[in-house]
Amino acid sequence: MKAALDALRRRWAWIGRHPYVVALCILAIAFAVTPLLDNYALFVVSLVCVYAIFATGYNLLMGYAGQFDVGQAAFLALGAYGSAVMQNSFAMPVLPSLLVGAAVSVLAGLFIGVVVLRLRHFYLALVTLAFSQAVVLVLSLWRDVTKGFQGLPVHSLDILGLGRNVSAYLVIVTFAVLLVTLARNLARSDLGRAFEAIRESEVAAQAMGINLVRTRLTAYAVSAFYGGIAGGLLAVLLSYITPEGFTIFETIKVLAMIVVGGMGSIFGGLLGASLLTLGNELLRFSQFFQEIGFGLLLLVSIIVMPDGIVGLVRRLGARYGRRG
Amino acid sequence: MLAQFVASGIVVGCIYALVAVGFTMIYNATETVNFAVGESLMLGAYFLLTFYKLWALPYPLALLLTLLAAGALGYLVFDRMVSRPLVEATLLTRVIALLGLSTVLKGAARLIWGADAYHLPSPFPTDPVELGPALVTVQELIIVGATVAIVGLLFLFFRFTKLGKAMRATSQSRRAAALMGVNVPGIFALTWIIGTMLSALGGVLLGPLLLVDPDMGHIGIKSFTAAVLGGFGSIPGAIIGGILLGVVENLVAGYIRADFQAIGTFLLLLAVLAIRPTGMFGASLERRV
Repeated sequence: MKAALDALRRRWAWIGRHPYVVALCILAIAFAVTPLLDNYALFVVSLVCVYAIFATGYNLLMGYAGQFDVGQAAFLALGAYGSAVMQNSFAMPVLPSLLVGAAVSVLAGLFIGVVVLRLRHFYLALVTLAFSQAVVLVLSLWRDVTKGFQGLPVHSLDILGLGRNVSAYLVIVTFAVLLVTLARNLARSDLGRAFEAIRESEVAAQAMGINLVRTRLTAYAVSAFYGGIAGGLLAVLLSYITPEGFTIFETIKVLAMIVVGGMGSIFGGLLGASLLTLGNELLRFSQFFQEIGFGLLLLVSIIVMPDGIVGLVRRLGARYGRRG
Repeated sequence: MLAQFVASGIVVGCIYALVAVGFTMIYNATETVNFAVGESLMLGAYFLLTFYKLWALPYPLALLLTLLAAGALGYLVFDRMVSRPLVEATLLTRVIALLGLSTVLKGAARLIWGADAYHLPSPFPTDPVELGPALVTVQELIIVGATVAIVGLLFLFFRFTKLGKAMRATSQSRRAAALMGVNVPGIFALTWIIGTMLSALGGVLLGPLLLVDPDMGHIGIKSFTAAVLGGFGSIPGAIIGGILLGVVENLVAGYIRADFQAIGTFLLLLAVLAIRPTGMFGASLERRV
């Protein structure tokens, strides 16, 4: 058992050493299999990728930087509405409008980051929860711009005349691979270490010369950027958005994803996003089963495996692996 | 008009205060921030709806059954399923678990009662009574009266009974209380039961003023806000915070726009936390490294 695990670990160690090769391989495979996928498969894989981006951004803020934010749906909403409003009111093409949506989301991230700078623990959770409710409210009341509950249509992508589904798939997969690779590098940079340091102890991190204000705000901005891009892409994928699509339930979903996968691990976030998005597709027929499913999963996994699947595997690996 | 807005604000504020008191009790005893408080409020309203409107039981019996059901919910679900397995876990872990629970309860309500909004009838007359410059209804007077009575009873319970003293001792120091022979897990269970009953009662009282639907639980954020306004962990603070929030909300609705209420709540929360990051009377959360 031990020897086999060690051999396995040695054989796959190169993956960790060559992230760009891996990223390019994944991208190449994803592009190559496009003709094999039907419209529904394209949609599901795209959806997995959108949530992978969203979960990665949330994981950087919550898992790495330890900022207990429960208003992540607000960033998704602002990214989606930012780009949709640009398209509808200013006739902007889809790709640039995604960046505008992300910029709106980053601004909101910096705003809420400044607001909660002095807050810790559940106070932070409370304010971000209230913030995300306020955002949904503003989106439903500001009818001149957002058309309220009626919702906004979102233009579809068309690249080289490949059709809307394939185009959306290619763009979303590219964004996902790019942003996740970026997040993996960020987590290993000194900024990533600084995130982990402030998560463990803000006082100790400051004593080590980490600029607390700058690091916390960066964490918010980065996470909001990921949320904003994910929101814009989600809007492209769904082709129609309403304020009800961005309630606390979206935050619960992404929270369940990183808790099930493993908080503070980029791979864990990806794993959770994939598993739960696929699971959600099975439950798509009814809202209450979705709610019960995600809620139960969140509840049970935080009780049974607080570090998620990645933590569970790591614990088993430590028990049976090298030096037992 | 001002007096009218303030009077209606106090009525709603009393309900927020009741819920916030339960919330604060739970926080004091178990150090758990009950993020599912809105859902126990929502279920309270649904329980009464079922017993009183659908089963057509007499109101006192329906109310009693509602409180029993809420107590059972508090004990079986909140205490046994969530709080007890996580008693050693960090505060944030428990918050995540309760967020999960709140989603489950919302889904369960949608499954059982459907997604439609119900009107919860009230047996109390809504005849207006002139009270100085403001007009209030009999129903509103009963809400205020019930709040005063319940808070008074809780005060007497905490002050003069042995169980109440044991509960206060537990919230001061779990360990010392255990050493003095207090059954700490039992106290936790009792706290969850009373806390859930109080929020269910909030739902029962709020139901006739609003509509009852599975998303009603977002009102929970108001009782957090009330608790934060008054300083987390202070029961008199929670009462004052609840009433203050009710009044401010009604002033916003009356003078600006009714749908700006939630934004008003958010801004009030921000304003208080900006001045005092741990609430008006809250203690510092800084810990040593």
